[in-house]
Amino acid sequence: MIDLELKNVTKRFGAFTAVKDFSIAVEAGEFVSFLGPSGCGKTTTLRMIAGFLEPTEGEIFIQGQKVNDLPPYHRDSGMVFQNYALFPHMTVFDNIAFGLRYRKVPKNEIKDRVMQMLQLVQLPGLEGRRPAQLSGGQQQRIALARALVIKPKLLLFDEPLSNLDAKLREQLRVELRQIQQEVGITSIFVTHDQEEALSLSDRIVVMNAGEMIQSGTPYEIYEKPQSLFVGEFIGQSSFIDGRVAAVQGTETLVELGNGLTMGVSGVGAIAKGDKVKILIRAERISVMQDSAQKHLEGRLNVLKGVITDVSYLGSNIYYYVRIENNAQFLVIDQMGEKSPLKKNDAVCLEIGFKSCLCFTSKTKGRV
Amino acid sequence: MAPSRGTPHAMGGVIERISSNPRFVLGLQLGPLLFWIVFFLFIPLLLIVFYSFCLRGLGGTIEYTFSLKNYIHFFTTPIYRKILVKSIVIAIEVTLGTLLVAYIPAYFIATTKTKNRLLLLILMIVPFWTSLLIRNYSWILILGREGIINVYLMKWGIISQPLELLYTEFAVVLGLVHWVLPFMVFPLFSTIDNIDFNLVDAAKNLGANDLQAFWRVTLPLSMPGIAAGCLLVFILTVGSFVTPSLLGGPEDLMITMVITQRFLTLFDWPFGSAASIIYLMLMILFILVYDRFIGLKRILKM
Amino acid sequence: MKRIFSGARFLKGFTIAFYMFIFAPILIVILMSFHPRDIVSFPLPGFSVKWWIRFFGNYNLLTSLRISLTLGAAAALVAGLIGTLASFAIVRSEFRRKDLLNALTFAPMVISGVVFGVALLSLFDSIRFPRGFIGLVIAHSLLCIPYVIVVVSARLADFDRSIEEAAMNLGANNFQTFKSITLPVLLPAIIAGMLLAFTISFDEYPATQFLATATTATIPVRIFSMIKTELNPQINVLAAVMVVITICIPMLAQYFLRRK
Ligand SMILES: Nc1ncnc2c1ncn2[C@@H]1O[C@H](COP(=O)(O)OP(=O)(O)OP(=O)(O)O)[C@@H](O)[C@H]1O
Ligand SMILES: [Mg+2]
Repeated sequence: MIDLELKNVTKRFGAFTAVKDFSIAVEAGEFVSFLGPSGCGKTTTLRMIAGFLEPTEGEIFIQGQKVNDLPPYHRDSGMVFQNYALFPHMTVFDNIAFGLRYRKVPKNEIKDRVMQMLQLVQLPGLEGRRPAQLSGGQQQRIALARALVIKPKLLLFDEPLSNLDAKLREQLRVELRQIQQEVGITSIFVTHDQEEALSLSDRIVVMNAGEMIQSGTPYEIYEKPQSLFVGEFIGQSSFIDGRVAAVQGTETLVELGNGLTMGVSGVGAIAKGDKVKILIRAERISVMQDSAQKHLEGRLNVLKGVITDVSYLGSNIYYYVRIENNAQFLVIDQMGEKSPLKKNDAVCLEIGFKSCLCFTSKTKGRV
Repeated sequence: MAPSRGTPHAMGGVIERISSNPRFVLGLQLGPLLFWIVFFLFIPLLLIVFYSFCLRGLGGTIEYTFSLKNYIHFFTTPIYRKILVKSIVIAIEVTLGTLLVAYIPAYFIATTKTKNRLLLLILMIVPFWTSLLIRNYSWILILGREGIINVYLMKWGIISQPLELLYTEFAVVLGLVHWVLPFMVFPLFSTIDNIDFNLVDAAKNLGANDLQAFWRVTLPLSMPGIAAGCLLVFILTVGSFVTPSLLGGPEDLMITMVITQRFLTLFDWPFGSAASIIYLMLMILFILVYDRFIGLKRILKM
Repeated sequence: MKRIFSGARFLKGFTIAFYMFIFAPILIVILMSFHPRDIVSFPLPGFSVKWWIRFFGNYNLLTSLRISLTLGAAAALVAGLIGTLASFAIVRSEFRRKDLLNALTFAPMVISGVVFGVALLSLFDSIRFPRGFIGLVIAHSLLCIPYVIVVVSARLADFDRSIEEAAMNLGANNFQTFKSITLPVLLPAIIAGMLLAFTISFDEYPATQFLATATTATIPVRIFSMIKTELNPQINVLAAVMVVITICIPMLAQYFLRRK
């Protein structure tokens, strides 16, 4: 069953188009993230779904009912706000009970359901407090409880974790996912934090400048970006310019100049002679001391270079490597037990061709 | 599942529809204010304009004609010209006096430690809210012939005759300065508070001494606050009534007192109206000139 | 402070003198209310509460006090209602001629009370509306509206609108959201604005002198004529009462503003 459907939704503010021809269908129980840089229209889209904004064009359906003309208070969506938006003059109990009161739920039942929710968000016993007496993490859990208790058709989140510190954010992220799966509620989650989107979602919608760029599972988004924009936006990568020398299926041979060539996977239609950009995931490169690797010399996708900088991050280590044609590479290596390489060390980089994606300027999205 | 609520109750529906109609809501919000302003400010002022062209009839009635006599009378009678000039002179004296008295405290508050600053600001507001009548009355106790100042000066043998302090222009200016001080201190404080004192340090670094740095950097940067404060103080003072009536002598008449006298004791409403209009025109002229040379927009933003 | 004048002491000394200057008249009046004789003199020859006792036996003054208090309350209510409604439009809506409306709203703050008073007197006279309490409420409320607007719209500009959206999202319509969320959260600011309005009204003389009648003489009207005609220590008590009321009420207002 489709719980939420947007059909060619466009939103303009005056002459400015904030959301452009946006279409999506969300299955019941699915957890979908909208991911994109600041100002790309995520919040605008979410607010159209909640009913705070009217689409300029297009239609929105919630559980099959067209809701374009329905005010927010008749849409039965539960929204969790970035700044929690708890009612400061009410206790936690009254905050959670708020929606139930407007649904004419009997008193006893309100009490039971509020208590049940407090259990669910692991904050039993706080019902008498005021929002000002809660920590940020607690406030956000109450906000979630308040949205969940009305058993909405949809849960809408607008960067709910971004006001929390890193540790708490991670912890709440896990809890959020558990609760969502337990309740099985269809959720739309707006974020600009890729880790959040990758770890939480069944599906990620990457947006840019008001448009949907790509939609897919976290695996697809990370492993098979359909455009340079998506590849660039997600994960840490290096980019090299080149020209296509030969194409065979998706296997493509690219000249980097300086006599260097690489075997890469092409994305979209690519022809011989195209100017391309190669994207290489930093953690997919293996880096070795040059002197120890004589046997690899001359093989495809083995590049020689020099370490120009090292930054040590505990669990892993970042090497900045300059290869022979002066292109810069970022390499992320697991620390393991070996001792780290040093600045000015000569190194060999080995890269699997599936980890090198090449894009022409013709692929959709910003290049 | 929550009950599906396709069509709300009829009554709730009416409130709902009304309260989500932006034009209706705007009308509800602004209607009363507009009514108040139009009926109790705008129309009364128009009425005054109308009366100012009428004449005083027998026994304090109004003779409905169209005549410029009141205005002509006002500007051709030396005493009224003198009063008009006096009102402006007193306002200028008060403005400059207030600026002189207020700048240093404002500077001190703005550059002092945050903790004390709040206390100092609150202390500043307290007299601001204290009844103006009472403050003026207190000046009478202080400045009068048998007032505190004279009593002590005589007791200490500094003077042998009491000084004539009360019922003078000095008393009026003092009382007015005391009244308008907060209107000067607050704009000054907020601009000085926003000054980036690195600039002052930079000036000193370049060889300016403390006074030069103040004169060349701090003072020009606090100009917006000075301009805003002076505007407020001047406008309030020109229209002041209580202080000049209580602390001033027979010579210290201001235009508001002429209006009051005409309306309350002489029952010459048309002339009183003309004086009111002259006062309003003076205000408008002043604000226009101010806007031309200093700019009103900047002050409205403060 | 070293930054400007070499003497930080000069700045400090001047500021202390400044605060003495602004507080002296207030403290002196309160002190004088405990004067024991019939003619005010210095230094205080003793300490007595007899003028306080006489004050509470003075029917005329107590009547005036009652009039001033009810007038202040009524004006504050009217100004609170009108000013709060207008603040919503001013902060939350865009409409044509907003600047003009702002200027008009704040006009009563800068136009002399005398001119405003005679203008209203002319209006009431021309429509044969008798002078009295209602006229005073109208005049005072108009004078107080700007103060309410300043206080309420400042708070409204800071108002986090997402809590209203949250309420709507949970099923409250516009009216219900206003009633259950907006109004309660804004209430402290509205009360603070109304208390300030009360203080303004309580001390208003320039316009009041034209609109008050013998039966609606407010405390300022009494004080003014007492100062003009005879200086007796009775004024001191009245003055002390005024000081206490006009200081305590804004402090109460501050308390409401602090409370979130
Ligand atoms: N009411 C409005 N009027 C005019 N422009 C608006 C309005 N609301 C949003 N915009 C514009 O629409 C664009 C998209 O805004 P939106 O809030 O949806 O971005 P976002 O993706 O949520 O960004 P962020 O990650 O920073 O929250 C922005 O450029 C914004 O300036
Ligand atoms: Mg956003």
